[in-house]
Amino acid sequence: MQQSNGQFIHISLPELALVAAASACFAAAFWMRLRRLIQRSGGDTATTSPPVAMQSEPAAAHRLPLFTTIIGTLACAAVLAWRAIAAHRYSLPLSDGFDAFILLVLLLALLWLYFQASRNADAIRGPAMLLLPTAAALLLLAGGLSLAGYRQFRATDPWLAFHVGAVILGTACFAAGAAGSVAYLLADRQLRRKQRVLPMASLASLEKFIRHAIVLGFPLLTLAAITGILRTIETSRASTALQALILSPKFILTSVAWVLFALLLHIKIAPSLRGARAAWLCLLGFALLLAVFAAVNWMPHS
Amino acid sequence: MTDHSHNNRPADDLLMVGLNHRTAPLELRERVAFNSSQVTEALARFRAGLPDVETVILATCNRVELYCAAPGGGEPAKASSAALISADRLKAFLADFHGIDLSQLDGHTYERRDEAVVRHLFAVTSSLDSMVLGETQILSQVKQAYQLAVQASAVGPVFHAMFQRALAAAKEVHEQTDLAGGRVSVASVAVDLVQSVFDRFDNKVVLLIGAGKMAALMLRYMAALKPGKIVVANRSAEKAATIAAQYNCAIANFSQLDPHLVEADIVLTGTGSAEPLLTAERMRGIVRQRSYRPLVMVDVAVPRDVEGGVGKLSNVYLYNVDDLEKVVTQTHARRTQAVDQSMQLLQRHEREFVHWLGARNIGPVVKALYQHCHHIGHVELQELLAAQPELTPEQRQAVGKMVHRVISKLLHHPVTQLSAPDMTADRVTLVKVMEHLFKLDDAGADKPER
Repeated sequence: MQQSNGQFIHISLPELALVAAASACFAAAFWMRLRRLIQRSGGDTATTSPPVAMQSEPAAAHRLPLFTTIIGTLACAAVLAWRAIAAHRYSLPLSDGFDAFILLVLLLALLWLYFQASRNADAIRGPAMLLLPTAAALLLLAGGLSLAGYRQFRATDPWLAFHVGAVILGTACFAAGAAGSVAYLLADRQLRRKQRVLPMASLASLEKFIRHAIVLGFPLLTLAAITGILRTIETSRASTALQALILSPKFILTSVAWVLFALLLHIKIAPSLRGARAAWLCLLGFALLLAVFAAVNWMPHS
Repeated sequence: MTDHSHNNRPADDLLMVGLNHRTAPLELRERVAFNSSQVTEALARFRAGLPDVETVILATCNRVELYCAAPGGGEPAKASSAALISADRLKAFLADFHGIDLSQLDGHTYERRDEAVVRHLFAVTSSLDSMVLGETQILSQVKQAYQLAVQASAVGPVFHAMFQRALAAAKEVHEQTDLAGGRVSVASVAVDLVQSVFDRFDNKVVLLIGAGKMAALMLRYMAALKPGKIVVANRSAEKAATIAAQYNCAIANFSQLDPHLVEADIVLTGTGSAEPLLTAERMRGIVRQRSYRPLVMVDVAVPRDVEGGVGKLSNVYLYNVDDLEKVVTQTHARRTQAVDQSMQLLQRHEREFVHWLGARNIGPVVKALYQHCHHIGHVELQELLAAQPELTPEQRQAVGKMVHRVISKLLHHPVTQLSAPDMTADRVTLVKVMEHLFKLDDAGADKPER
């Protein structure tokens, strides 16, 4: 991830209020959906998954979380619009890590809304639901990190815009994969403990979901890495710049994440990593990408 | 279910006679059972004698019930049909149709009348009265009984509304409560288990080790998932061959199971072996050879065929008979807990239906009341007009309008109250009082002269 002039900016209170409101909306929608699912599955008294066909839900129980998520999504969009207007720009305001976080959350919320409209919703039951707490947690993280301030990017640099765009899209895919991984681990745990708390999609469906997320995210991550390296070479002709980049925490963390995801894409090389272990690795990969966000913003010389 | 709807008791003669698994032994239920063609034939025969009576026959393996509705509706022909249906007549019909002695039914049948019929049907359709609480098959059986009656033109407005409401209420109960949640058989729990691991079965291999009753039952359920391949292994090649013939599957050598364990995705075991066949040590190597593909193992043998430690291996999901039975017990407990909630839902439907039925039945009485009063008004008006020849045509018309307006205004409030859903008095008694006070039975015969 690249940044230029190293100028730190702080987030205004109205922006933070909108972020908090959006986070609360996602958390509330998740809680409503979770409560409904637990009620329908009979709490912790049952075991194993229910039949594949999910019973239909009363309209109100379905609409309220949907409505709340739409409000949260609009709040995220409002934050981006606010920042664009404040910066006198009429495009996506990718000028710092805060923008990146909000855009990432917006993508996750839109993905959740897409899953709700999907006819194949049962097959992704679990990861779809976990996208909401992921979004809420990322917003809280974005708000919390704002206390330290965000380093500004050079907004006019086309390489940077391409690089940051690929990073955000790729991270959104891995965030979805991480949500799928948590769902997988929960489903696996329920099966091993012979207790069902939440109705989940089958392990095979969850595995497919994680794989699809990685298949989509991996090329974007690769693209982001390549554009990052190329930009470093272009902006700083000195050979020491490339060497500094290679030794920087963001490069090392990104490389480890890249290797992890590459391994998950080629699980046949290490079949013992299948199942729960692969889910843990996917979570680790996503955590590394979040660490890259932090490294880009706060680590010196990164 | 409490008798909350006493005050709205319908005037229709709703009657149901039946016998079920609680009141009649299997031998008797077998003798009075109906198949689809017999239902059609019985409906035709019953309605030949009583064409105005709405009739539905509900016949399942656990119950036979004959539902009748003979709407009085104030029409003499229909009222006579109503008078003709009785519990004894229905029992006699049942015995006669099946060629058994009527006395054989003595003490084994039950009957319900009026709103108790509604309550009973709603409870039956929602499977509150089933042998297995919350089973969903009864819903389709009631639907089929209703459809057969519709095809035989044996259903009128009352049963159309009643059966459709029963089906809708049952669906609501199943959706909004835990009454039909979970699984109630060990084999179906095992199916749920494999469905929570795999999303498709056409590329899966099922390995059955042993040929005991329980294992064979499991296989029957698994076969319904249409797996890509089924392999049977048993010490007795003869028994294995019998099962293999039944499911058109391959037979494996019992002493060389490992290659099949590597290939299989679902393993069902149920042998009589005293020692575990599949130890953790043995399975560890097999799991490696399988490249850690998920493996579901269902062990229904006692003593167990699969060592407990196997369930701790990576991507192996092991369930024994205790695990499966625990689920079944929990399901029963959940369903029992859902009974009260289900009954509350059904009470609302029952109340609404009985009100609809009651309001529908006062229609002819209200009509007769209006006709009677307007007839009196008309006669009196004619006398007045004859005595006052000096009145202009406009004045005559105005007086006539006033008389009818007064009658309508006088009747409006009592009629509205009579059909109000929250009426606290006994609707049937009130209707009878009205009929008596206004001599509506006599008036019904008089045609108004207007």
